[in-house]
Amino acid sequence: MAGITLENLEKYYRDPSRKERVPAVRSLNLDCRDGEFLVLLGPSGCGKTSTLRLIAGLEQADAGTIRIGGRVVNDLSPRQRNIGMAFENYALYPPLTVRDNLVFPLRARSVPDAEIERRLQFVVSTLGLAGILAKRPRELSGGEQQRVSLGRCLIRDADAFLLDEPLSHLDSELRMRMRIELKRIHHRTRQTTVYVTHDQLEAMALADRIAILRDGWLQQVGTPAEIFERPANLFVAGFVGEPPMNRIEGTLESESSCLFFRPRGSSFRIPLPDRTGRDLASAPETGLVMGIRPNRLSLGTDGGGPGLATRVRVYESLGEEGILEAEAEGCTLLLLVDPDLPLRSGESIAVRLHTDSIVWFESAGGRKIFPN
Amino acid sequence: MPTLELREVFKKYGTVEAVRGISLECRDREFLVILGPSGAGKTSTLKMIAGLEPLSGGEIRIDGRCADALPPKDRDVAMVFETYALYPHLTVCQNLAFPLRSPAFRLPEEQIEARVRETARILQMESLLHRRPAELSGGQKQRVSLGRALIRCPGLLLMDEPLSHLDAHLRHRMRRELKRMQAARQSTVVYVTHDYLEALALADRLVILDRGRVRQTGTPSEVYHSPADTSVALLLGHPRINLLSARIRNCDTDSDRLVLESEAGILPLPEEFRPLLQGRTEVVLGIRPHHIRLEEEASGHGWQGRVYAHENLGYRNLLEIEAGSCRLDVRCRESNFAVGSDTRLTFAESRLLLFDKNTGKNLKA
Amino acid sequence: MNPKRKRFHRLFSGRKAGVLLGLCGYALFALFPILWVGMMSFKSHRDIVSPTPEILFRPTLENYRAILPRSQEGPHETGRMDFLQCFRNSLRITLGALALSLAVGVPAAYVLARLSFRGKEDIAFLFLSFRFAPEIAVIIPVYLLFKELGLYNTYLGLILVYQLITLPLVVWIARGYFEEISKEVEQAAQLDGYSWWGIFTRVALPLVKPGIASTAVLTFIFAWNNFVFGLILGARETFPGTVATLGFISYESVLWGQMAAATVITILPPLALSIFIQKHLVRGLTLGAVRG
Repeated sequence: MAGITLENLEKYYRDPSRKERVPAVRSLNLDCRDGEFLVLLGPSGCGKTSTLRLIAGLEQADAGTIRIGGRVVNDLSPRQRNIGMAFENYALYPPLTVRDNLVFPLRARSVPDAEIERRLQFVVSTLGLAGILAKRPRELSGGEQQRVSLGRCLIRDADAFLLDEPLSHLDSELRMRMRIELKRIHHRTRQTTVYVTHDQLEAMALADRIAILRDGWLQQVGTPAEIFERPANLFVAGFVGEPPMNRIEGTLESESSCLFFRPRGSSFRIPLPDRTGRDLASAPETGLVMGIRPNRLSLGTDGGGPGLATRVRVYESLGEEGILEAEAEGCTLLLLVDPDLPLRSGESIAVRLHTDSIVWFESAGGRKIFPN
Repeated sequence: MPTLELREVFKKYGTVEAVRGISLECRDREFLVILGPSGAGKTSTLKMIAGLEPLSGGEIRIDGRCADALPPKDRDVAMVFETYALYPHLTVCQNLAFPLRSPAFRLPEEQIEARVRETARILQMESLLHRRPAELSGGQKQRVSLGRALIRCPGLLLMDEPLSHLDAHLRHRMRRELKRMQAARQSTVVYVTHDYLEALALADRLVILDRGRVRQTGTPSEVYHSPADTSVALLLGHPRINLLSARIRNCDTDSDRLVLESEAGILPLPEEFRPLLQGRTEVVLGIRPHHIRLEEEASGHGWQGRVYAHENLGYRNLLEIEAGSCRLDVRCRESNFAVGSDTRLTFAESRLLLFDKNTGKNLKA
Repeated sequence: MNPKRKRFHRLFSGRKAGVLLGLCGYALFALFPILWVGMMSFKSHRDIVSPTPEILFRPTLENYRAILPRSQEGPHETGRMDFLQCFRNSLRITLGALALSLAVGVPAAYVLARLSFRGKEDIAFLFLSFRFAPEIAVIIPVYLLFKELGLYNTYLGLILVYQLITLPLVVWIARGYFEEISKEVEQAAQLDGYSWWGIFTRVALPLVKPGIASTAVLTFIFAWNNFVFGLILGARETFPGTVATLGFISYESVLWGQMAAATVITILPPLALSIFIQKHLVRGLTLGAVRG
């Protein structure tokens, strides 16, 4: 087992139609600690898969160093890097049985039979494959194929595991089951794992830490809770969490030692607690964005926190929860509320803000100002 | 008079029966959602309504008239396809104008231009008018395809999983946008999806389709809260409803309390369940994951359980709890339970669902 | 190591170098006859017939001059035909055959791709079967038939018989292109109020235009290169360029140089088109129709 360190990693692809180099990964510094489950998260084209392929050695880095367990591996072939990888499309060998598929990487390295048997037993018991060892890939369900593919990756005594969207072809129910199983396997084996996905729920559920990428640039690294509660910038705030964080642009105003936030283009102000002034001491007075999660807004005026008069635009009752889109003078708010509420579109309704959970961003550049 | 009526409609592809006797009605200006898993026959049904596929049996009536002999262009029907089906060689503007230039409409050019501009304004794609489909993002294509359907002001609008190829955020946003447009719409809509959230959010009425048959019809709330059978119950909700087989004790003797013995634990039932359970020994108990409450104190009523897995997804927590010989899914807003810790599960009895052991039918329905 | 050196190393690492060398060798082998003919066309007759083949020689345009129009008053005494006339014949016949094939074959291909009716596959197969028998096997009956019908030594006759080459190509390739169009795009047009003819002309045809263009080029090349039909079913007035090269062989002598020059000129159109087709073989136009 070993950690993975990326230093100033760069990767460009050549775009044949425009004859220019398109950046895929840009001066990436990232650290996956020994035994850690690190998730690379981002929209398509953000460079997450390129990063994974660079670590695996399937692509050559244009600049920077890759270390696995302290050893620089830039010039080593994928084989020499001793890494296990599972692909999005499973990549099982169709003519071989599950058993042969599993031991294939070991036979390729001429591991002694007794050792093969020992590791096979371990993988079969960890992944619960005992019942399907004699089957061939096409006789397996999607979830089973996925387990075999993971098993083939686990069976090697690899220094680290790289997983490229392994759950993306499964339906949402199965995906949740596999998520849980993956997490349990990781708890048991504590293998260094780098996992690529575009699904923020997968990232939240699996990761020890999440690294968010966009256009090749690293946006934020942190635990799921950090990313969710204190996104480093507006992109992360909008990308993680569905419904996304409400982002309201506006300015600070103070009047007789009270602080207010005025959303752009509206006549009302939101009173802020006194300490906000200290929190935002370094911030510009204009060009602020207030970020607040839809579950930190609630209906009704009772209790603490400033209220806001809004009108219902859309209310969706979604069985387990409800999503309310409310509008106050051109500023739209999403609220996560209870299902089956008697709300009609156009109805007036008061919304209460939990000011403790507000995250402040500067609107130019979108960087987070508070909390830091 | 219903705008659209299907009577015992069948569809066979070779020997495969895709649709096996569907009957349904859709009222004027209603938003009807057909929900079902893949292979349920949803798209086949939609294409038969559009006239793109011939029926193997039954009858489709549009505005009270039998539509069997009508070609698609004479049905006053527009469709939004799952793959968008935009004309790749035409610009957005030409795509939108295409139906209006057809022999069926043949509007004068000034009118076409006005309609195109109006539609583009409503769907906020004025800046895209001169692009080709290949230069559009998924969400933009989806908008164009919706615009092309709406521009004709069709009597009947058919939508085949229009949001399924969008990424999660966009899908949720477009769903709310569709819902907002619903208020101002002119058409009757039949909307096909496999996503229960879309179905619950958009439908006036919901039709549940499974393996070519209608399982249940009703408002979203009816279908969600009193599903006709286990297959419908499993289709709506994430994680899926927990189904446990349970034995009934003391149903026929009036003396003791009514008790269910399930694989997960023993559950006393209120008296109003007694008539439902008369003459039965076994039932299937259904508990939705968000109707289970987790208590920290070990003592008290409810089932003893141990946390098998815990996922904090930000807005919600999903847990798997080992109770007795089975695992239950639990969904809650806040939870601090660590994996391996003990917990106690309690339920609101009014939310419990009971199904027949053999047929899967809801006993309360 | 700097990146450039690295790339160099990767390119010329042992195995790759071997493969590269093999490919070069094969290319040389395959192209050698053409190179030889090209060289020959610039040689004087003496150089050509010299017993030791010369790699280095003094190039001359004499052969080209001999077969091109300015030598009209030149030596006709060998009895060979007018090469330029034959070149024009080639153009006429090939383009005529191509036009006919496209006019008939593209709609046929559309029908075979989209409509379903009994015997559809049989008909499609029938078109393909045109290509099964070698031309030489059918040429005698066709010759007799043409004599009878008055089609022998006419452009029309040759255009018709060329359909044996061009039509199957057009039908089968165009059918593939039509099948690639998403069915739902056409269904959308159906709902938008168009008849099948409207869909064909306003949706399907524009979508496969690049495909049809490359099909046309490919078909042109095949038709252009045909030799047997022109030789047997044509005569002096209608001989295509490929047959004309034969005219440089007479009882007394073989005009190797002029023959080579004629060959080079005959090769030029398909060569130019081949280069063109490579650039324009874009099948991607239909991709924008689906999700992206």
